[in-house]
Amino acid sequence: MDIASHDMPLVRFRMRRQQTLVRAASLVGLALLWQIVALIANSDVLPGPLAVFYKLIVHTASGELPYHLAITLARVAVAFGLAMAIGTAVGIVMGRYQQLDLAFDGALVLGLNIPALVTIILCYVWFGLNDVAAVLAVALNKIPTVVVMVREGARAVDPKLLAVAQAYRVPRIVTLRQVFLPQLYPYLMGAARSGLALIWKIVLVVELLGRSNGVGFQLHLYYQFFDIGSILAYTLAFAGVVLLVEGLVMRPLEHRLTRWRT
Amino acid sequence: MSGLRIHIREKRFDGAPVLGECTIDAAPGEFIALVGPSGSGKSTLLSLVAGLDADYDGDITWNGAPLSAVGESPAHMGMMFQEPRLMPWLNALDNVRLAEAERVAREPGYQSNAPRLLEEVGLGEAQHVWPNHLSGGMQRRVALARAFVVEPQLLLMDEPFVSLDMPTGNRLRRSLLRLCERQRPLVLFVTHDLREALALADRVLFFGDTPARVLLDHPVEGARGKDLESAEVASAQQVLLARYPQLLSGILDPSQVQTYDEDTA
Repeated sequence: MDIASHDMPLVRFRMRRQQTLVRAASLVGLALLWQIVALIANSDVLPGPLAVFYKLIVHTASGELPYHLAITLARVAVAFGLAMAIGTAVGIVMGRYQQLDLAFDGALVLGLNIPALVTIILCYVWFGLNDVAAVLAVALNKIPTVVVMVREGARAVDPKLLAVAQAYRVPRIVTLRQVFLPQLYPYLMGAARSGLALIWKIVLVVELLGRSNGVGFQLHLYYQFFDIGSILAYTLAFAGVVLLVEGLVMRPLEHRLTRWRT
Repeated sequence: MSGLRIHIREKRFDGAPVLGECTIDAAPGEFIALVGPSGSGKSTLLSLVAGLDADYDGDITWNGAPLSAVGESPAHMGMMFQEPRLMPWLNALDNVRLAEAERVAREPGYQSNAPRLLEEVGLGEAQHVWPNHLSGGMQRRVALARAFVVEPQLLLMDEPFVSLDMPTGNRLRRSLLRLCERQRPLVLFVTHDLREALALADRVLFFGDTPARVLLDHPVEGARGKDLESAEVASAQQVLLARYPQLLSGILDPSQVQTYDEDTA
């Protein structure tokens, strides 16, 4: 509401452009470093970026990489949605009701510390070598960390703002959407970020152990062929998707949810 | 009997009584100020009436029937707190509209009054501004618009204009009285500023003692909306304090307190 704010969009645009440049430069630097190390090593087990890029194109053109990548992404999406939904619900309940928090805290600590491999093996043994077991195993690994973060947020919810909603008899669903959840957004964003990072990794292990498709399965295959170029090509494609999700979904979403702070 | 009747037998916090026996009767449209030292239970009393705290022994009735169901706030109630308490992620308009959510759910086709009320408190231009871009005085204007958007029959105000400079406070007090003129709610206005109470209210209730009770029910002479710094308010304050020198410390008759002190010494 002051004079300086007239220039704000321009300043922000410049800042964003600068940020994008820095991000791009760091990626180019990484690729350069890789090329140099590959040249020095001069070995089949460390192909350079160009060789890997060539493999990436070959596997993409054959349709094999997009197929397996899509399957993996679908598993990631379902496991992520499941983990966030269940973790958020349980986290809110545990954050708001002390008795339930006490009752479930032991199970939560256990869940946080059970090795991912154990959950995966047990899910496959109990539910069979299928996608339900695979997605369930991934979600089970992630739910406890979502619960912990959301619970922290639910505990920090301002009772003074809830009192406003109560005084004006704001319906429960509106209270949840306009009073309660906005206070949880920073925690939910944190849980989503760390959640995606963990789920990418675990999905591959799950695929390697018990599925016959997906990026994890392909990596296993190329490992047996000792085809490091293809392994790195899949990794590269995967990294590209991760960057896209971060840039096109997570960061704009975060910006939208926190724009009132500016 | 018509209007509000508050009869508290006792209210405790963690076992310690904070409110003792007290009865307050108020007619519809009346403007009642509650004055007393901090910790004398005025805000507590307000939160009991607001239905924000159901853990007390007593009855609060409106026209003879319970004011609200247990654990619920009364309908047609506006409330202003010590802080503006706006949702920082909602703009001014949506903050006012939040108070209408109940009406919207109940009455299909309900037309929002929020833009008109923001206009009336002088914030017609600032409807789409986030609260943290508004000054303290403007944030309170939004809270004032929110309190009136529900067309309140009962208006609870817990030191709503505290820590504002005098001109800003005066403007807000004028806005409040103008809105009251049209809506005619019953107002319970907590303040620690005796001049504010004498300038705005029809009646001032003085709180004190432990556990707190109403020490004095003082009718205010003259019309509402006196200037806080006027001679009229100053002289009314002088007369009152000459008669009860320690009234604002929550003591009605100092001599009684002294004998009490001597007894315990």
